[in-house]
Amino acid sequence: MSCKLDKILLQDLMEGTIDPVERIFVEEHLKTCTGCRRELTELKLLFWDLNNKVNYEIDMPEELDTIKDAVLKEVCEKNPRRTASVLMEQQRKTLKASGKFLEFVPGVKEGGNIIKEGAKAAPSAIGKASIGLLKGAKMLIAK
Amino acid sequence: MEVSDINILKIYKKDKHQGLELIYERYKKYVYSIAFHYAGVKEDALDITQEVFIALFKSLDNFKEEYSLIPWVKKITVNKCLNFIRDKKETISLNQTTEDGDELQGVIPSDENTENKALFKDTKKSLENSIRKLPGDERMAVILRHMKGMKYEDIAKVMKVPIGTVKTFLYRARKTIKADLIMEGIWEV
Repeated sequence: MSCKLDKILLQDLMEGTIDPVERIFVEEHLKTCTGCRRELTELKLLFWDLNNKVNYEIDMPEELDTIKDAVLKEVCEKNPRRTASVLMEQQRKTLKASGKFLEFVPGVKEGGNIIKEGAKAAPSAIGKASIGLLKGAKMLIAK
Repeated sequence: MEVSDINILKIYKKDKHQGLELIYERYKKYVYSIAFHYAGVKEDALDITQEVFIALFKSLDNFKEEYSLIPWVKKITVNKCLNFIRDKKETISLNQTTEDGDELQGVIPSDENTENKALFKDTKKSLENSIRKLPGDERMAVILRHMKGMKYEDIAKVMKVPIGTVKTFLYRARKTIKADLIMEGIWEV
């Protein structure tokens, strides 16, 4: 007669994850069932072998060092920034380099300063001119 | 001297290259051993190891310094293993026979002559072969539970499945392995 016990309970018993009530039931069952006692013995042997760390010992291949170099190369040498920002920066550098010669042209610096000052003074000059224009227009209308 | 993950991450902030090197040295055995027992072939295990570290290093900038790296390493390793599609390339098996009909493993000289070593080798080899034949999920569950000694809850987290499913994977896997080992006469029961 085949045993009806759910065999997963025997694995739970081995793992210590079995419910206390089920444990009592299984232990009682084992007293009378030779098939399950045999199954439990096999499971004990299986768990012994499965948990034996020696069974998982392996040699570490030398290639692991080669992989380290390859991984570091891939990760460190690749520019992590986005392509757009790299292009923008390159463009800025190009523009800066293309105007570099201006720094060495005589008078450019002074000219630049004059333009700057002129630009600052521009609003007042425009103001004066517009007032003059307004006056002129009024005079023309009066005449 | 053992350097903690926190210290490694601090080093990484200052010197990226050195930090990554330390992480690699710390976890290479861990990752490779899981990959090897999962893939069963050195070349595949090395490929997986490489993929794991590239993925790990590329996402390291987002990692918070106060956490341990190990759960993350486990997650990436399990993920890469389960997603790894084995190439269909021909590999040489030690069980393959030569022209004379001898198995390759018998032809390759070995310094292990004692009977004990041979018996031990048999158990190890049979176990390895049996684990290798399991479906991917079951294989990974066995590796994490029995080789790495992880708890069911942790296995469920890294494999992204419910605990009940982990239990089922393990139950089926153990049943298969037990049947294989009995068939090969590993135990005198």
